[in-house]
Amino acid sequence: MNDPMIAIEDLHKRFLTGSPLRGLLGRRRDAVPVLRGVDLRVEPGEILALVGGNGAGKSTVIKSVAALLMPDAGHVHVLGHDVRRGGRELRGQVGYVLADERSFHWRLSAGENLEFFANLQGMRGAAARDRITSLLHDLDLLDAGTRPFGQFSTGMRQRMAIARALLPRPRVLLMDEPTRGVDAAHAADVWRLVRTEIESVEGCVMLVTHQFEEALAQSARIAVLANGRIALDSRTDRLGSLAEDLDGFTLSVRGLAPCDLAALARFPGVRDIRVASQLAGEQTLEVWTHGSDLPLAGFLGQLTLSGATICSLQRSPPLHGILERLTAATATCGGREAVTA
Amino acid sequence: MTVARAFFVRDFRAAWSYRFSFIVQSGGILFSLVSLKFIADLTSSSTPAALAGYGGDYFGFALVGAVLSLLSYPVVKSFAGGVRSAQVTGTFEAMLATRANAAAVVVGAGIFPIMSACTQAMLVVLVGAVALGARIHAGNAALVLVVLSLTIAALAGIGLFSAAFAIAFKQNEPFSGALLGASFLVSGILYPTSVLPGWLRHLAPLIPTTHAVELCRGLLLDGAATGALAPHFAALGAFAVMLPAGIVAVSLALRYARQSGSLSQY
Repeated sequence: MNDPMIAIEDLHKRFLTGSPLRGLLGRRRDAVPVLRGVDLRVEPGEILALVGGNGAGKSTVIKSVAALLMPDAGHVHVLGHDVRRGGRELRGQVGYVLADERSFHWRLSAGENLEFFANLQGMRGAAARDRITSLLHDLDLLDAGTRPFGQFSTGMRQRMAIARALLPRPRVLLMDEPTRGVDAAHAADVWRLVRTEIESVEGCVMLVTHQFEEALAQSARIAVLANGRIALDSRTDRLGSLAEDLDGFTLSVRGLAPCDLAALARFPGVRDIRVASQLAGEQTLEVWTHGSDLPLAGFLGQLTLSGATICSLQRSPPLHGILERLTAATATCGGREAVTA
Repeated sequence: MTVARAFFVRDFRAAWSYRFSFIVQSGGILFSLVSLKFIADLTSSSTPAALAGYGGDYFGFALVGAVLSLLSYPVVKSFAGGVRSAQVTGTFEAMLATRANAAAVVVGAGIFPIMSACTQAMLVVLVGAVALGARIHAGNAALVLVVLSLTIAALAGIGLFSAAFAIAFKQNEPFSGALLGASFLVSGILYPTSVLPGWLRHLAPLIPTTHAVELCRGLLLDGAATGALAPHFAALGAFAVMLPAGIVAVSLALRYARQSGSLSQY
């Protein structure tokens, strides 16, 4: 078996609240533990999706791999190097797509921005220019290459972040919400390019995403981060069959009485229904169904007849709901090791 | 050098995109210079005794002080300013994720502002001497360059401490601004330090600009006394140690930010 390209062992990280100046003045700062012993490996050629709810610590993991954060305890090895001592050569082999797509110089053009970051990566002259042109072309940004970055749409900015990460032909590509704000056609282009690039250097990808569908479609493995630990680490093909059984949708309603909720739970095709949150009189309902057996029009009709007002309907079930159910489902069949094997 | 060049080109392009602002700023500097000339003309009939050691020409005296003051602000402020700007726009994390040396990324932010300020300073001296008649002689130009290098090293050291504070605590510190204000007051920018009250005069040697101003006037002004410049050279050389100390401070601040998680916050 090959050595893993990313090996995370017992990673712990906590953050102190309040300004660091409070600490200097002798005032107490509370510690918030984010990671409580994360273990994860990414093998050559593999695309791993790390998913989890808001605040689960996904970005903390990815920043630890990028050496932008240092562990409190545990180890992170990338390409065999400890990130604490990895230095410049290691950073040159790691590409990092930041979650913040604003992170460019807005007065400069796309090409000028990429030229700046190429120079920071030690790339110069014709080689840098050719690489920039090629990436702009592959990401459908070539025609906009001379426009100031500030005029770009959110999706174009996000594609610029991907181009920047790919500049040095990294062997390890870290992607934090890479296709957020990118339309479906361009997202497909992005993934085609990422796969080509990573295959050419026999590299690997660690993807952090809130989009469960993207994780299922693009990754070979999915790891779920919950409560500061990896709650689930499974091959995607095994998880896919579990996920197919997790059809559902999310509804925002007003004026729904508890007795009506109980009646809706007995509606044909409904597996489970629960109130996920309640704010200012508006309830968010998670409705889990048996595949696509639910007659949606009839269900919504009954809801309206009960006197409730429907504010919004989202066809896909919420990520945290999926994660809870997947984690629970895999726990019943032996936990993490059972599904990883 | 690739990193330094990258920052210079980036900041030049950004500055070029604000051409109108550059023209207005340059015009403002020229207006100030002409105002200084008019004030100097008021004293031309009777040279104050305090200026005797500087060749007696107040315009030349004030011109050198003003040029060093013009130079001080960007050297002290550009590093922390660059860090804060990069933190707020999100580019700081992106730059630190590259192969470039992390301390070089912080130092790089000061390259264009400092080079730009040096160019402006040279133009101001040129305009002052050629168009407005300041009695400047260029015989000691090489020594003046040494003095300016030491001055920039000393002030950049302070600027890097300021940047280290911004990295660690995600806010600008108030001390460098206070230092610039104090330097305008006690370093002899527009008047000799000899006119200061005794207790204030004792503060002057503690500020690098004081020594830089004394040295530049001694080397550039016609008729200035050059006998007592050696102690100022020694003092400015000692202040120049602030540069490596500032780089160490930046490295320590980056390590702290990586550990505390504040690197990507703003």
